[in-house]
Amino acid sequence: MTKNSSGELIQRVESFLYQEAQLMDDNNYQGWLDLFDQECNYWIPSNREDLDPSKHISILYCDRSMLEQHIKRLIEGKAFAQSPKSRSIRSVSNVLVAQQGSMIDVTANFLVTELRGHQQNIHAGRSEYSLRVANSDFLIQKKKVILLGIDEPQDNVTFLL
Amino acid sequence: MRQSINYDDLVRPDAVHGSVYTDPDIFADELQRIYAKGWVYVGHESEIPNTGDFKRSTIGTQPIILCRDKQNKLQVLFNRCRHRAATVCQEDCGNANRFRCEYHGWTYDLHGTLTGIPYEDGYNNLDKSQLALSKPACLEFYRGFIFASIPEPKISLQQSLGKPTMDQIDYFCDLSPCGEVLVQAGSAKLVYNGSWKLQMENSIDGYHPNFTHQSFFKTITRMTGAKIDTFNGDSIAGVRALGQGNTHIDYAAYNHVSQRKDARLHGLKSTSWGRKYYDDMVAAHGQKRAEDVIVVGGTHMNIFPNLVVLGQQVRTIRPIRPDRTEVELAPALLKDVPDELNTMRIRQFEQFYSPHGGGIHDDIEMFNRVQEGVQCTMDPWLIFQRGLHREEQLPDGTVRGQVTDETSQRAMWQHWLKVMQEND
Repeated sequence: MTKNSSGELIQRVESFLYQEAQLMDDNNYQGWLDLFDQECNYWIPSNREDLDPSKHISILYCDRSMLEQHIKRLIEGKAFAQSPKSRSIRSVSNVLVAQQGSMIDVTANFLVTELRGHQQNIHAGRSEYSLRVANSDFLIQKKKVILLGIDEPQDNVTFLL
Repeated sequence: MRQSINYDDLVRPDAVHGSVYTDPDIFADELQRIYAKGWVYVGHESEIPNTGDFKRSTIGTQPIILCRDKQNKLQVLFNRCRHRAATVCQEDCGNANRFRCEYHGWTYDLHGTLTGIPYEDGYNNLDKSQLALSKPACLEFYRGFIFASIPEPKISLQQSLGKPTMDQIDYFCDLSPCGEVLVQAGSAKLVYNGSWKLQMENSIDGYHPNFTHQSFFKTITRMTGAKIDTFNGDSIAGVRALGQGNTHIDYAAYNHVSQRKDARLHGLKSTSWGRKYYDDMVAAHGQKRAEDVIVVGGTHMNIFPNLVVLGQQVRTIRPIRPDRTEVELAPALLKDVPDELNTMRIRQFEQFYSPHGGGIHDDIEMFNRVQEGVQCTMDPWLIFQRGLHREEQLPDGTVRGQVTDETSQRAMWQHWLKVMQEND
């Protein structure tokens, strides 16, 4: 997958993913939202079979306007499942990059340790991105978050993923 | 042996003692007296449409397999090998033609009949016909909802539900022109550190939304301009006790106010798929019933002890421990309607009820807080007094209060008390 991607491109993508991880760990909701393109799709599926999200529920399936509302609700501070907010530290690894014309397809693994209510939880998963090159940086057109516990009973996962 | 608990000391007409959420002995009694003795919801027919389809679930904490046998009949089998008790089915759902215990290889068919024992000549006089997987004594159905009773039931399911409750299930199913819902779009599963009764109390609580869910309502207002006053202290929406501990948030009067009714019907008919749905509904149910069902918008109810039918979803509550509960929320699609309508139901479901959505986790947060709070045993009573002075008995025998009143929780708790005393 990486054979067409230059070392320089991979480095820039990794740097972008690390910035995204930092924004999520900082609960910087607006900063994270700003990484997304005006037309975008954000999807956390809830089944391993990749079923059609128009016929099957997801953990979240958003276009840009729904994502904005989702984030605004968190910013306003009366979302009690994030009051107090989660603290988290996440690592991003196994970054694979493939350039498709003006688009860049990326997959990366993540491991996030989250602390809330005196309870520490670990969530692992893989994220798939379609990035658009914009000026000297990237914008997310698509992000799909595939949790390891995709179809398991979920505890509070209302922090950014 | 432990002392028996005097339940009269724990549930008053207007208050409940904190120990009912924490005491392991009470939890053990609940499993025996509520879950192992009465009607319990186990699943919906549409979840296992084909021969061999199965789904794992529980009755209380007892593991069951819900499956469809070769005669197209539904079966509920306890998921426990008759030999040495290992579970015989591991997957949450799937399709199978038999269940095999992987510990020693005992095999059962879809009726639960024991069909194979490895090295059978090592047993002397073992009667295989007596060693089928155990089953509840009785299964009954109402509009696709499957209920099981472990002993022979004292009253039929229809008697246990009662007409006001069945009327509400009808509202939910009649949103489809052919009257069928399909629980086939997956489910969201949540766990929390609190008693299962907290979810039951909350599902039909019309007092909390303006506070717990203020961030969600603000979002709706921002998106649509609609101001949500359904749950205000002077709202004409209500709560109802339907009998047998079943309870209801009653939006009928509120939604039928002419400007809301007109807006809803007009909005629906403004798209081509909405128009088709409206026409199909009128053709199937007649205009009066069709408009009533669409305007009221299904139902919002609890069926004691473990089923919630609400908006576009079917919710199953599974007690795990006194302070641990699993909740499975599944959107119900409508049969024979335009795809756009079902996709809209799925997206609406996710907005509020998914594990990353904007509503249910704010409820769950409150359950965790209550469970922590009841560790304080000084002044142990939780107050369920709201609106006791103003509730009224309706001609159909149901009891109605204003939407913020605790009429529904009182009814649930009085039924809980009755069952805990009667089923000793």
